[in-house]
Amino acid sequence: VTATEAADAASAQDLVLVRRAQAGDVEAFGELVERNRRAVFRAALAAVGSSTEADDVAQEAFVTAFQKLNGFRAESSFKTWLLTITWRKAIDRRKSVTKWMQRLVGPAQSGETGEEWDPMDRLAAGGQSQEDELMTSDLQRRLRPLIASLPKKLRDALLLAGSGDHSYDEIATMLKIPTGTLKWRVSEARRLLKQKMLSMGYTDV
Amino acid sequence: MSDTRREGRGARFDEAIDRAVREMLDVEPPAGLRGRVLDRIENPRSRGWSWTWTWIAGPLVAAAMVILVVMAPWRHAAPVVPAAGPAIARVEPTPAVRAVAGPRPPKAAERAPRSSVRDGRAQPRVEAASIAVAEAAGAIEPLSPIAPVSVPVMTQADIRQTEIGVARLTPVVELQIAPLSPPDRRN
Repeated sequence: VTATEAADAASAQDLVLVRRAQAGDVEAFGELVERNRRAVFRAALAAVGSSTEADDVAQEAFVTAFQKLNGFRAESSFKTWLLTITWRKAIDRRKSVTKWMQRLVGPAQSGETGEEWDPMDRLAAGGQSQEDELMTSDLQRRLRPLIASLPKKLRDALLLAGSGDHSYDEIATMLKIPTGTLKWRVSEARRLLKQKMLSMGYTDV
Repeated sequence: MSDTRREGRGARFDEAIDRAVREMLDVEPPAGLRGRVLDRIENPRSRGWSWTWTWIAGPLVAAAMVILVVMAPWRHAAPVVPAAGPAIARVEPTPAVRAVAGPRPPKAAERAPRSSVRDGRAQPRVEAASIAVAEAAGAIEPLSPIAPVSVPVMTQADIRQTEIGVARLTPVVELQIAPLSPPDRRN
C-alpha cells in the first residue's frame, strides 16, 4: 500500500465520520479528533513554538471545525480543511503572543538587538533533556537556533514539510500558496541554513 | 572546494536539517485532547458565557472608570463651607446695629500669610475656606449691648426763626471799554 493510497483511505474514512458528525453524532467527531490530533498539534507547534499554546490552539481549531462542520463541502480532504483552520488560529496566536511579549520585554530591549521576540526561540532552546542534549551532536545543537532565526515564511515551510505529518499539497493549502512556491521556500530555507553552517566552519563531507 | 560545490553535495547538512526539524517538532500532544474538545462542544455555555460576560463587562468597567475619573470629587475645588455659619451672619441684624456693635472682623485671607500657600491652584481654595471660617466666627461672636440714644429737650427759642435782612443793591455802573490797538486787534 503506497502512501498516497493510505492517505486516500484515511481521507475516505474521515469523510464517513464527517457525515455522521454532521448528522449530530458527537462521538463520530471525537473519532475525527483522535485521528487528526497529532497533525493538528504539530502544525500548531510549528507556528507557536510552545506545546502548551499548541494544545490550546488545537482545542480551538477542533471546536471551530465542529461549529463550521455543516459548511464543509468536501472540496478538499477533511484533514486539509482542518489544518487550514488550525494554521489560521495558530498564526493569530503567534501574533498576539509576539505582541504580548514585546510589550512585556519593552521596546527599549527589543530595539537594542533590532529583532522582535519570536516564540520559536522557545522551541529552539528547550524540549530536550540533559541526556538527550549530550547525545545530540554539536551540529544538531547549533542547527536549532539557526532554524529558529530563519525568516518566518521560510521557517514555517521548512518545519511543516519536515515534520512528516503533512503532504506538500496540504501545506500549500494551509499556507494559501502554490505548491511550487512552497517547494522554493523549503529549498531556500535549506540553502540559507547550509550557508550559515559553512560560515561557522562546518564541512559537508 | 567552493561553497557552491559544497552546497551541491549537501548530504550531511540535509540529513542534519531533517533530523533537527523532526526533533524540534517531536512532541506528543498532551493526553486528553479528545475529552477536552468534546467537553467544550457539549458544554459550550460555560466558556461562551464567560466570554460573553467578558465582552459585556469589559466596556462597562472601562466606562465606569472614565466616569469616576471625570466626576472624581478631588477634581472639583469647591470648598466645604459650613452652611449654617455665613447664612446666619448675613440675615441676622440690621447694618446699623452691626456698625454700632463693632467693626467686621478682617478677612482671614488678608491676615493669613501668603507664603504659607505655595501651590497656585490651591490658594483660592484656602482663602475661600478661611473667609468662611472667619464669617462663621463673626456670627458666633456676641454683640456688645446697644447704648441708649439721648435727645436734648427743645425750647421756643430754639424753634424761632431769625429775620433775614437783604441789603440794597448798588446801581450798575456803565462799563467803558477802551478801543483796542491794531496789534491787540490782530490777536
